[in-house]
Amino acid sequence: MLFKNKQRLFIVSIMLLASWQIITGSYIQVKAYVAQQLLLKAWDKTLAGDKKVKPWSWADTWPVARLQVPALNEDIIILAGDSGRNLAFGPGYRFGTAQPGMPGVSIISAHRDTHFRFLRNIKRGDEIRIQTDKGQIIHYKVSKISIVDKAQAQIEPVTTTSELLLVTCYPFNAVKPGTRLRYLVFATQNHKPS
Amino acid sequence: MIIGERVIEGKIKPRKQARKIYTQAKQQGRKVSLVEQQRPNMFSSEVANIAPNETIKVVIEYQQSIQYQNIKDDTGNQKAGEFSLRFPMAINPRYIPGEPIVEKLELTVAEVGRGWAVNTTLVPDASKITPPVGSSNITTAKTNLRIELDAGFPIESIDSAYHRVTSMKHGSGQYTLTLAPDNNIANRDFKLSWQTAIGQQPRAAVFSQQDKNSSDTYHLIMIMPPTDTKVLQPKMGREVIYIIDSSGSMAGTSIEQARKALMMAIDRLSANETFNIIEFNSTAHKLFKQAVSANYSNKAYARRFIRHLSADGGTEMASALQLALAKPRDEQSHHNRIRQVIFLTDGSVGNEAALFQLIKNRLGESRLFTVGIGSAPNSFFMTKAARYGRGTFTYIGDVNEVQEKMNRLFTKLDAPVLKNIEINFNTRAAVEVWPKKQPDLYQGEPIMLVAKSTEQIHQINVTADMANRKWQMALKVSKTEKNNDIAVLWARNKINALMDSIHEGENKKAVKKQIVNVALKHHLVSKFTSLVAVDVTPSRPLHEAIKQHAFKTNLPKGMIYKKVFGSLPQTATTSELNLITGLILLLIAVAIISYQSIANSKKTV
Repeated sequence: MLFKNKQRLFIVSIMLLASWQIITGSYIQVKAYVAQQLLLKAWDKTLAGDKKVKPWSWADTWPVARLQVPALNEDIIILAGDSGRNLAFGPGYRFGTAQPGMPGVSIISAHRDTHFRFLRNIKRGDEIRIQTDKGQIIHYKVSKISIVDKAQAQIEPVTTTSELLLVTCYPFNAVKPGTRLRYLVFATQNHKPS
Repeated sequence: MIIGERVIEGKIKPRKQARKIYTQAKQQGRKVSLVEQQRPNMFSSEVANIAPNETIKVVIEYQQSIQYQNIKDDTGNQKAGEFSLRFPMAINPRYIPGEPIVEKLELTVAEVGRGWAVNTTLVPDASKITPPVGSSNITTAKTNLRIELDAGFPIESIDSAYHRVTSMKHGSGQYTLTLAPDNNIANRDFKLSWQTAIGQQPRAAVFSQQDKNSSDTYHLIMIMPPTDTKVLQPKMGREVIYIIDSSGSMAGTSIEQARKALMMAIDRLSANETFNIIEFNSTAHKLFKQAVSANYSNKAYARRFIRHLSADGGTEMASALQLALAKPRDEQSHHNRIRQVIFLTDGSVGNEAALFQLIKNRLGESRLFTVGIGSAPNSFFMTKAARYGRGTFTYIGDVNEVQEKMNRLFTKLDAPVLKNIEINFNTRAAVEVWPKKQPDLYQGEPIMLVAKSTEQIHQINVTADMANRKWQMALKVSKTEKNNDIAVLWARNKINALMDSIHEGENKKAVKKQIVNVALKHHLVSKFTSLVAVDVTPSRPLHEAIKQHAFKTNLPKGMIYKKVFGSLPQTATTSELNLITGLILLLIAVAIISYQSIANSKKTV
């Protein structure tokens, strides 16, 4: 009888552990989704003229742009700053890089298993639209896709055109986080969108 | 400006006036050159109406003070003194944030530069600070350097850090150096350093000059505090208060690096020093009620605390500063100590003015060292807070460098040597000294100051506090040269101080007037004054159109976005790992249960 109790305890603890893992895992996904819904509201206020709209009361970031990929039916709100905490809620715009539409490279990063999962399906020539907080829409065309080692990669910071660089981890289906490789999607401003 | 045989001397004029003179002469077809300051370390020059195949030389004189530091050997003994000079030869292309300013029609040509960026709301002169850059494999700008070095003492060794040079020795401290001909591309700064022989490092130096037109005298003074390790005993005591930002934005690499840096800082403390840690996010709290001695058990307690620091919540700085700058209970025992407050944050604040007031009112004998990390700390606030706090500001742009840069700061802060430095000029005449207040001195740093006196000075006395006694030194002023180098240096320092006062909230108009006066008197290009030289006779027939272009600079060597990827955030979560682990565990549980029920059913059969 004692033996049976011990076994039962073992099974229960495995089940608890399992549900804890599943809850943590889904929580990340749910958080990523819910945050985007709140961000959409904050974005509408931003377009209406409000500045640095906090999507929820304790936030220390705000929406800066909206990114759309028509071919893949993607539509996400970009946050100011690419700190680890921000990326749980949405793709982050790196401070200090060029503003979309200005000469230079604008860098946006997001998690490969949440907001930027779609990058694995993006192709050269695809259109990317960025809506700025002034409501202006800037059209980009994917010009290059590459996979680099994060320690060795280099880019030229000064360009005469407006460039967009989307960054996420690679490989997409790696189970463990913390890989060295990065998946880079380069896009160049397209003044004559089709 | 030199045209063939003719030399036309430039004049310093208020900036707008100089620009007007330049534009006018340019339109009239006369040769004209203009030198403007765009940033304290960035100048631009323009020349108009150069005839085809003609050479025009523009000669600009500038001066720069040489850096001095003591260098130590591996055992920590003073080895020698090292002087160094950095000559800038490249401009890093800058990122221009902000939104483009729509050019209005009434804007004159003068207000738009020829750079690759357009003026923006945040950088209204972006077009002037972004010279066009040549592609990296075609070289446009070349430089020749010829250096006549007269050190004034025997030189042990001489070294050019980035360029190959050929050198010729003339005397014991006299050299002529030139750049190797294949090494003359202006794409990185030139750095030259030379060392004194061991034991020959200077203790003090005074250079004095008499103004040609008045009784004013100018003095450049450098004093080395004692360096002998025996003299420095006992070490000056320290109380160190660490303030750490643990708000949500620090999450990830930032807090990890900050934890490591703090751990190292705690390790460095010795038992006769006291310390405390203040953590703040939405609220602030102290680790110990009062600063405690850095003994074994207190350190262990602090380490445990640091290990458990996690980043969450808002950024409430005021209460953290209040806690840190609260008056220590036993102020008397602090007389011979240095109290350092080290403030680490990545945050921005809205209530700057209130915080400055707080620092001003409560600083007392403490010194505030601010450390800003991440790509968007409020540098303006941090710089100014450090200035009010009589400390320094360290900026760490790449979060992967937190540990390294903090370590450098901690090493310096380890060894305070002198505080309360007072300079007495032994004269009733009016003396104007820059910097106005001497900062505390750490090991290896010299006291440097420039002074102007309305009468001759004969002796300068310096007093300061060491750990357990007063330190003093007297300097005789003997030789006075008739030259104006030091006057110019003094004026530059004064202009810098005045420019700073604008950032600190002084009335801009009044300060500008003062700067213009100083610059005109000492013949200096500044933010508000430019150098313009105009030829009298027109040289371009007015029916000939003028061709214009901007000279391209080289892309600085190594200027590629080296570290950006290393510093980008981790872009994957543990979400999938969690889900998969969960599912596997669930499967195991189900397997065991079904195995059991099979076993049970077998038993019943």
